[in-house]
Amino acid sequence: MSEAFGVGSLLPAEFSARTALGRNSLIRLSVILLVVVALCVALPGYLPPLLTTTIALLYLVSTVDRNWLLLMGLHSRALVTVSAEEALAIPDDELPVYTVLLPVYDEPSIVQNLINGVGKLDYPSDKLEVLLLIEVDDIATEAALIGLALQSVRVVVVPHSLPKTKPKACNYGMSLPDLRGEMMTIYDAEDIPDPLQLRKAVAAYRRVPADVGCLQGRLGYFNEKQNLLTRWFSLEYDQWFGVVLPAVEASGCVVPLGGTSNHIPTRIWREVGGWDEFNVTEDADLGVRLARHGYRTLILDSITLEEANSDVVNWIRQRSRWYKGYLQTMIVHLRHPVRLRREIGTKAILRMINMTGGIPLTSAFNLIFWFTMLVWVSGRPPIVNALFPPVTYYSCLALFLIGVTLSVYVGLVVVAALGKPHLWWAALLAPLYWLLQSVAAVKAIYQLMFRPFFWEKTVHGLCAEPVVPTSK
Amino acid sequence: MVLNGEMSMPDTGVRDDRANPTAVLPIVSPGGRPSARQRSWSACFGFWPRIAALVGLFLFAYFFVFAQVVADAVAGSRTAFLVVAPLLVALIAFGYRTAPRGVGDNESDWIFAALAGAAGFTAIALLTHRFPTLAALWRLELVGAVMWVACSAVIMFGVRHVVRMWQLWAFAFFCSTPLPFLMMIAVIGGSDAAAAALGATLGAVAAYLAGRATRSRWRLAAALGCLAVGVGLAVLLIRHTTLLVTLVVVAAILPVLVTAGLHYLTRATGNQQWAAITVRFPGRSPRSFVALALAAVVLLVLHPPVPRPQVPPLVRGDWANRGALAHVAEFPFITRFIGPGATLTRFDVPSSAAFPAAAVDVMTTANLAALRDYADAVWYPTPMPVHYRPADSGDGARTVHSNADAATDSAARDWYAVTWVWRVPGAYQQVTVIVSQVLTSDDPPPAPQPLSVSETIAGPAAWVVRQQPEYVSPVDPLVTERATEVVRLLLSAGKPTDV
Repeated sequence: MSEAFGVGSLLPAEFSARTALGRNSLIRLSVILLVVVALCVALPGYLPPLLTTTIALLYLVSTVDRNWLLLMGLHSRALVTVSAEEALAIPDDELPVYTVLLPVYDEPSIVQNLINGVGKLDYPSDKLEVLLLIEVDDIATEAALIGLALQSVRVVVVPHSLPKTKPKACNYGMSLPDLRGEMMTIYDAEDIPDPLQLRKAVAAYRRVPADVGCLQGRLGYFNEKQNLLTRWFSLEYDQWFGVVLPAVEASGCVVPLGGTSNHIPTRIWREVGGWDEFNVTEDADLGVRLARHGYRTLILDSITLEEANSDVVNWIRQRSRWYKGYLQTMIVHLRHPVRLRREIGTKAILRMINMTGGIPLTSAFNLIFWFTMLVWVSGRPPIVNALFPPVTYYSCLALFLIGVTLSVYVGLVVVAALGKPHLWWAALLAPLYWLLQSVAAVKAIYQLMFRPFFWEKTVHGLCAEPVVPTSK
Repeated sequence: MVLNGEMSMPDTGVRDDRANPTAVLPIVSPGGRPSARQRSWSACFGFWPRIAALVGLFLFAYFFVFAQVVADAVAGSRTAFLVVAPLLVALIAFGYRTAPRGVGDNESDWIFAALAGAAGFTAIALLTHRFPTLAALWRLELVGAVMWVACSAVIMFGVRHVVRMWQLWAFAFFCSTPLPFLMMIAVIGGSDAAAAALGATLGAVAAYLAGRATRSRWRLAAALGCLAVGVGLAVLLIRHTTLLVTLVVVAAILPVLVTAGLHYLTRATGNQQWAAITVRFPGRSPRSFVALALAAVVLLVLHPPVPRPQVPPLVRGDWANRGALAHVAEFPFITRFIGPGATLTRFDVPSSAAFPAAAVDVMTTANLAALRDYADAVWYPTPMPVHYRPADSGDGARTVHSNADAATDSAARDWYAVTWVWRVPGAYQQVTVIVSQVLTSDDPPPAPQPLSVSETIAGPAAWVVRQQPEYVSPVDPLVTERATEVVRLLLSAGKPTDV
């Protein structure tokens, strides 16, 4: 039996990111890099063009796949839809006990919003178990809670231990001995879920196949019109949860979970080992593990509104954590590729790579390609000529001229399909968003090497007036 | 790449301040407090010390470059405004002495600075290598100095603050290279008074930008007052002193005094544009400053002192007559560039059978520094950027020619030129022997033309964007022989006497 980590972790070490990129791995990578550089110097006419050609082709495949998923998703919106009538038709005594995890840290300004958002969930109070998870040293949040009416909310103080991450706190909450929940979900500090979401999840589980292990609620933003960044962010979310993930599921591949609003039967959550406390996108990792255990994830057509990051630097920090987590997830699950192939298949592996580590890697490569273009335009040095033989050159040219145009066009198509015309100019300016993604990717790669478990804190509460939705 | 839809997750987790370089400004995030060490460091390292550090980093990294600028200005260069430009940039920074609200992040700042620096310095280096003459005319290394200051400011103040100061950077880039200033002087007449008045105008602009904490009407009034007094002083002072001294008074001392006066008046009357805020600039570790210092050392090494050009040799003043050159035309536009009293004269060279047409253009001025301001200017029409190359004679003369293989219109006349500077009693002359590359015509080579925006920036930029193949076309030996023959004739007529 493998050793498990953390206070509440059920996870075997081989599935943990704790050793995803340790010192030995870094040394091995450095040696490989040195060998490659040496070979490039020794064989300047062969290896460098081969490398750039390989990278360009992989990039091309990655881009085509992402666009393909978008277009497929537009044609087959495979969402699980539950009407309000159907959700409300379930008698209270047939509803399972629901555990709702609310991890917060240093969020005094948003606690009120959190209580108000989750507090509006339409679920019998005797079957609702809301755990507000607060770190032991989070005096600010504790102080903000004083005087609040906390009906049905249980404040859980998470004791000090390392790593201090959200999944560690959630695992701790789920390890409480007196927990009754048959179903569980998680919400963010700033979330405003559809009030009927829990009932909809229960209703959905009654009619989906038994191999469905998770229902992922759709995520949206209540401040998407705040500025250009929130529009980009919103467009991206709408594409991801409304179009791409259903297409991924329909193709039989791994669905990386969103960080909130994933509804899982508690027994399945325990079976797959809970969250990895060392993975900073424990949600994506959990999605892969669900798939490895033979469970499917479907998208539930019930929206949880969140606060879109409206501050560029704040956005970079948040995004860098996600990218770091994607890389951790990819590395962890590729430890035993043969076994992984047996469990989820080749296509799912390739798509998993493209949807986790592939995202930050392509973003980082964007920088290299843009820099190379700048170098070529500025000085036309012979080395660029040598690096880009005709096949590579025309692949990159096609990527740049056709790929960029196509991506922007697909973004506009999605905007039209989603019925959100106010996002069209954000779709048009998407290449600028890619630049920010590249910066975040560089930061993620740096942190993966030097601060792999550091949880990059995102500041919430930058939008003053959240718009609270009503359930349809 | 298409999209990177990712998942959201709550941002819990505890910051380890000992390892965390992130600084979240207190107004936005009480939770993202800087560490105690960063707080104490920030407390003793406020706005002015950071500005001083930036100035120090600039002066250290670009010591030899700036020393050259000062030396040129003292010698009488019309680019003397470059001496006061850094002060005006610092003055504008005074308007941004409060930290912006928002989230800060040390790692992101470093990444932005590194990316901008890598892209900027690489582009400058490559363009300098590819277009050496154009780069020298533009003094691209000075644009690099602004890049360096901007990247350092990202580390010192955070990328948010630097982006917020976009007006400062626009001003800095405009003033960092001498060509825009020289071209504007030419547009407004080319006199020393025009140069001083232009400097006073830029000083007033800086005073306006520096007063952004004051209500708009006040700062506009102050800037207009600065402009009126500055221009008046410039016209008065330039009659009695040098351009450098005049510019120091009207484009440095006066804007500083106006800004200081506006600042104290605003404080006294409480007439600020917005309420005072108490956000601190992000804390920075000593390691960041050490890294900046090391980068400054690297830049210092990369910008070594340039040897001063030798004093041009003295020749006879009547060399044109002795060479039997016929005076053909004067080009008065040259006074707009080199300054009052300068002349540009074309002499016809007696034709020679079987050789192409040739001419001699002579720029004459008493101000050697002003002549050297345009040492890398190409005064003849050319469809693509061309480069000066040392002549085979090795005596400081340079050759340059238009590319006869480039696609041009039917009216274009390609040319080959040899140019050098020498001294006649009471003046300096840049002599250019220009030979037509059209062997089948007796038409003279093209006449010199004033520098224009299209010739100095739009054309080269379009050339870069078009990514035309580059090669140096060969020059017909008859053309070079003709040029050599004329050069010999002039050298003989001048009979340089080494004094």
